[in-house]
Amino acid sequence: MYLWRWKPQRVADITAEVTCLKHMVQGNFNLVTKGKVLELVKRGHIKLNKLNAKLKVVRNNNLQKRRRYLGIFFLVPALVISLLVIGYPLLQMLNLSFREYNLMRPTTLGKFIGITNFVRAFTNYKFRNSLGTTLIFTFLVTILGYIIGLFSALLLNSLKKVKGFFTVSICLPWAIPGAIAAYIFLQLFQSPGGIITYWISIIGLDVSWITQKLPSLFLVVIVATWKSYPFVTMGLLAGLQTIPNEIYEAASIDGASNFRKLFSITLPALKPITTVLLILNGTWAFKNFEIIWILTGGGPARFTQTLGIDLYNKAFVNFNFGYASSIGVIMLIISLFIIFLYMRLMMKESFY
Amino acid sequence: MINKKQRLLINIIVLLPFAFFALFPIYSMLVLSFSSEKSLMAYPPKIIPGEYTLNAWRNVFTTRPVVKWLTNSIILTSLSTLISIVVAIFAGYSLSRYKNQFSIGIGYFFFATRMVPSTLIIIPLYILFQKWGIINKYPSVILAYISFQVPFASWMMKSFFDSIPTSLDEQAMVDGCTEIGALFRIILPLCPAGIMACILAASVLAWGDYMFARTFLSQNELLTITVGIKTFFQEYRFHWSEIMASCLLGTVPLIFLFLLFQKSLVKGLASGAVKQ
Repeated sequence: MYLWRWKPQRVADITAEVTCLKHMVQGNFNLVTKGKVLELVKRGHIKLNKLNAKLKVVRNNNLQKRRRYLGIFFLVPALVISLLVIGYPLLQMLNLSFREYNLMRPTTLGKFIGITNFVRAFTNYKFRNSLGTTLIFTFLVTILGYIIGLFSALLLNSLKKVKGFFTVSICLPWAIPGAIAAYIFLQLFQSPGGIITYWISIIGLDVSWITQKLPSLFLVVIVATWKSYPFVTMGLLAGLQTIPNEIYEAASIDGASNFRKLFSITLPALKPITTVLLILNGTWAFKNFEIIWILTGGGPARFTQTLGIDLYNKAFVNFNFGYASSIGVIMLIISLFIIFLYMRLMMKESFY
Repeated sequence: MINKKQRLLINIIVLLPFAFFALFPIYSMLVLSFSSEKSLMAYPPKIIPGEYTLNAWRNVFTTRPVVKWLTNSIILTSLSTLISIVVAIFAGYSLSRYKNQFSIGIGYFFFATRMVPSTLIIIPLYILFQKWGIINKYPSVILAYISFQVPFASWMMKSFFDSIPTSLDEQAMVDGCTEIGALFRIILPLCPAGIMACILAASVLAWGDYMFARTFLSQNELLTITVGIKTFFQEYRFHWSEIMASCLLGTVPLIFLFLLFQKSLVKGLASGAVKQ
């Protein structure tokens, strides 16, 4: 079908022709243009029978098959890992939530009990409290984090010279692991000797941060906000830099005050990235475990106990895996709701 | 009217409390790790305490296997990050260049995984790993870290690869490149910032993890540094200077990595997040 004799002309022609022939030998007809083949036929380098039909048919088969296989092949490792370490546990957790799986009662291990676990959860006032605490904690951390992040980003955006120093210093909390941040804040807010306790006592409030209810919630929210607002700052800073300066100048010419500029230009332009940041921050706060666990372990009389803490407690302190799994299923439903909300928001938004 | 220079000054003055809020705990960690017990118990506590000593550091290294903890953290984080990034590069390329119904669904699945709490998967994973007998060994923690690193990194890689036009690798393939060749010779060299951002983000996630390490590792010598510090709280009296010293040990590798990659990280997050 092919003849290998060919007369070289220009270098580019040679490369093209050699590549063309190589691909034809390999069967990659999708990478061989019909024009090139026709030219080679015209010059007498190639003899082909039924040129058009053969090329078309071979090209389609090869192209699709090869591309499909390669695409899936590349995706397989990630898929296998996800299914093994995420898909299977989620299904298993669903399964466990309908069973009695209490290591303290080995006789009934694995017995199917329907929705008893869920009923137990909802009739337990401790669980309902932790549900409320989770919502309060998530809401506070997200909103506070966003406001502080917005302020920092706005201030950082207008700096030029010292921007580097301030950016690094404000973004440093992101690099500190959450657990270590909790250890540090434990010392700073320590009731006899912590320095922040001392400062607050100067104002007149004598507070013991870990043993009193509202202060412990405050402490937990502060630490979580400290840890999460750099992420918001970085995202908003990146978003602010996409707003061209001319818009602000035009608004100044039209007589807009700074406040007006903020609310009518900056915030609407930041809407897409704000959505992303709020959702990401919110889910981080919702699923956060270590900060609360290390600071208060659930708080004075379970006041700072969120759903995640409750789940972990029931699972690895009380060894009641079945009941803990039902809490997990409830958390999963809330997460799915947030994901659904996010998808809808992303679909609706036009990014201009 | 306020001129430019005064405006800049006001800007800086308003920013100072933010910087203080952000930096003060880190500063405390530094200073307190070098303070003596006496200055820690002094009332009122001062921002710049009086006495300095290296006692805390000596005690930290002698009473606890801190070096082992650090080694554990480093090995676990680097192994899991390595595996995750390699898997994520291939997955991101597939999600970015081969778009059909199947891969778009997988992409959304990966993205949704980031919003699912890790507390949900820990119970079944614990039972499974106990069956496999790898509780209290490295593979359990590595698998757990990979579980949240791979989807996150795949999605990030996908958005970076999306920003590189497909005509580039199609050009390369016309010139005789295979798909894998296009990936490694064209696409990867074009987004080093993105890959570094990905590596950094994945490492930060893995290093700072507390829950998985605490649940899957119980032997003192196997703990990671974040969990190991908790053992300081099991004594009757807390030696805060020692705790702060070990916290510093647990933070320095990360800050080092962070400062190395800082510039590429901001650039990476910008193109990754805004380009939804």
